[in-house]
Amino acid sequence: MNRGPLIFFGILLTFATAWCGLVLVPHQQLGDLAPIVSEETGQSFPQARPGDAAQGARLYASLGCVACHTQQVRPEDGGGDIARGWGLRRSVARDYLYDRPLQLGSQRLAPDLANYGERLGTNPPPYLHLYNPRAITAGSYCAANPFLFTLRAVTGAPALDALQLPKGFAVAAGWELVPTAEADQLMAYLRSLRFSVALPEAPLKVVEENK
Amino acid sequence: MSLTGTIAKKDAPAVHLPPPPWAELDASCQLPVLYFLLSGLAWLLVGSLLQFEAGIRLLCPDWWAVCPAMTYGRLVPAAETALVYGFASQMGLGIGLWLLVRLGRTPLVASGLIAAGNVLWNLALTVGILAILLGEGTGHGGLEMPAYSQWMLLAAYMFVGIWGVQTWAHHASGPYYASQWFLLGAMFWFPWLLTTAQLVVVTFPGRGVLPAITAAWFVGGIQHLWLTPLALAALYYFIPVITGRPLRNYHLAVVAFWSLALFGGWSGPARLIGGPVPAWIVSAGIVATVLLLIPVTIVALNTWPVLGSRLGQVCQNQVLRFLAVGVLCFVLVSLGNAVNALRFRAAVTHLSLNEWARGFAYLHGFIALTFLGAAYHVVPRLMRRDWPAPRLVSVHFWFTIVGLALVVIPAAVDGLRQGHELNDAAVPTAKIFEQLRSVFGWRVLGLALMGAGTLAFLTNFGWLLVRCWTPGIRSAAALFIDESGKSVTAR
Repeated sequence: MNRGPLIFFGILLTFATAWCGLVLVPHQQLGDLAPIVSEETGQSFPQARPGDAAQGARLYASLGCVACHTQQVRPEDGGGDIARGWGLRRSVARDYLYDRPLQLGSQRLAPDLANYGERLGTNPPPYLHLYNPRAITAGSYCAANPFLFTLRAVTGAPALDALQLPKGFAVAAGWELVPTAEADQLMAYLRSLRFSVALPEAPLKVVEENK
Repeated sequence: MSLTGTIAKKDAPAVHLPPPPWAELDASCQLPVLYFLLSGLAWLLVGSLLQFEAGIRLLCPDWWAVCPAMTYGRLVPAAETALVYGFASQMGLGIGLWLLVRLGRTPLVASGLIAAGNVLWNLALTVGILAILLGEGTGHGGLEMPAYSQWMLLAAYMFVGIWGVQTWAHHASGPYYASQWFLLGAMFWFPWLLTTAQLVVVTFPGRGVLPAITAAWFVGGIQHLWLTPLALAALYYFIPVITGRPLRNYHLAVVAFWSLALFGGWSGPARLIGGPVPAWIVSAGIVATVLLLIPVTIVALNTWPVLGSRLGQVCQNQVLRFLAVGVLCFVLVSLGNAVNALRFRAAVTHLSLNEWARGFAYLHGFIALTFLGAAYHVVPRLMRRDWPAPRLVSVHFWFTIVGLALVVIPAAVDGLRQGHELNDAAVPTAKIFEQLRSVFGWRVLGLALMGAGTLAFLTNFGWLLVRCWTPGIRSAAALFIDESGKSVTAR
């Protein structure tokens, strides 16, 4: 190869194929993907997150939870995510229409959180895990987030949302740990993580089995 | 033996020119190349420290937990940014600029402006990494720095890219050598990759999963169209020059270049396998990742016979040792990536530590060892003085190799277990993850060794600079250098 312009032209051309194929075409294909409205309930899916959960999403990204927690359920023939109970169906592009920033993740050093809100159900939110994961699971290596809580002296009756700390984690008598507004936002976000709604492109697993 | 003398023997095109004034050419690029190599090394140390600290976080998660800037989730992207943009990109640029000058037999154009670009580059990175630690990261893997520092980085690159391409174009007559194709490709692809990803992922993010698709394309591009061609440019120059033997099957190198250019750009989405994106995008990525074995095979066919025929020299030579292990990592990791891109394998290894280990071995094995080895060759020529402590070079090599093995092998092996057990619903989730602790222990140990190796290199480098800039010693230094460019570090 001894012609500079020819090399240059080839360099542009080969790159342009991937650029068109992987940047332009996906934008064409997915750019106008819209929420789906259920005929039975009239509700649309997915729904935009309310303000506190949207704030929590930003906090989740800022703390880098995605370094260990993925948010994607792989199809049944591509891994054991559904069998493990991380979702009732695989995740599809439509599920993430309002996820910003998107936190799919590339490493699973901890449970998947795509349907964490679903798993949590009506249980009380896991503030204690957020404060220190070792207070719940002794062998966990998940980061503790004491900076999301305020330590303050108890004045009058203890606060309703004060953490019920187990032995070994308790604070001094007369003091209590209460979640900050940021901790509440993060919880609102975690609660909002769910997509157990059947979609035309992704039916729920239970529905398939009933057929 | 000069490069032309070396490669003209058999396969490569012959060039008949009077020997160029190497000393003058080296002087033209001394400042920016030294800047890039030194700051690249400094970022390697910073990135290793951040990675080490992240490893400590996994072992002792409650230590320093009150400080959100030291949380695992921020240390990991900060370390990755420091290593990819600080270390690998800057070392690659430094080596690349030197190669442009050597191979083009033309002085570096606007070396002062390129050095200014280096300063801006470091400023952009410092701001960006501090921002990640303070929680301003974008949350997109591979593009973690906030928009303002990404734009600064792009501006800094333009100083280097524009004058680098100018230097390329001033190439003295004669055919272009393989390293020059790779360098030109990398210098064009990088700004295009960064601008697109910056616009579509960070500044004006598309809806839903679109940023993830573009980011996957970008990460694949940074790996295969930026760092890989820079490293291959180095391998294709240093291996024939130091061994004194032409590359074998050199006529195939052109196929390696074009196949890397094509498939490298398409390979990224393989990392989205199983993810919520259209199946054709992932399939295209898988096909490209497997087809990347074409350039990988050719690189092996070009370099292995040469290295194999000089095995004794490879074991002894300070530069060749690094390069040989680098080529080995390149081939092994690419093979692993191709096999594990296949859907039935990805069902086990995707998202596991096995995948992480391959990424680590690619960056710290192939890319890093190639650039570090090349730096051992380039710096003595720029400074016109040999390394003051050759033993430290061996220390660096062995510490790095052992550290690399301690980080990569346990993670690759245990990652397979992790992947298999995660697919077996009978194994409790918490147990699977808790068992990974031993891998993290090896990782911290390995990273400590690698960091110590880097310190050995920096000590040697600092010592060299002090000697060169001490009056009186300087004049004697010139005696050391063989004007034809023969390896003074070879022994």
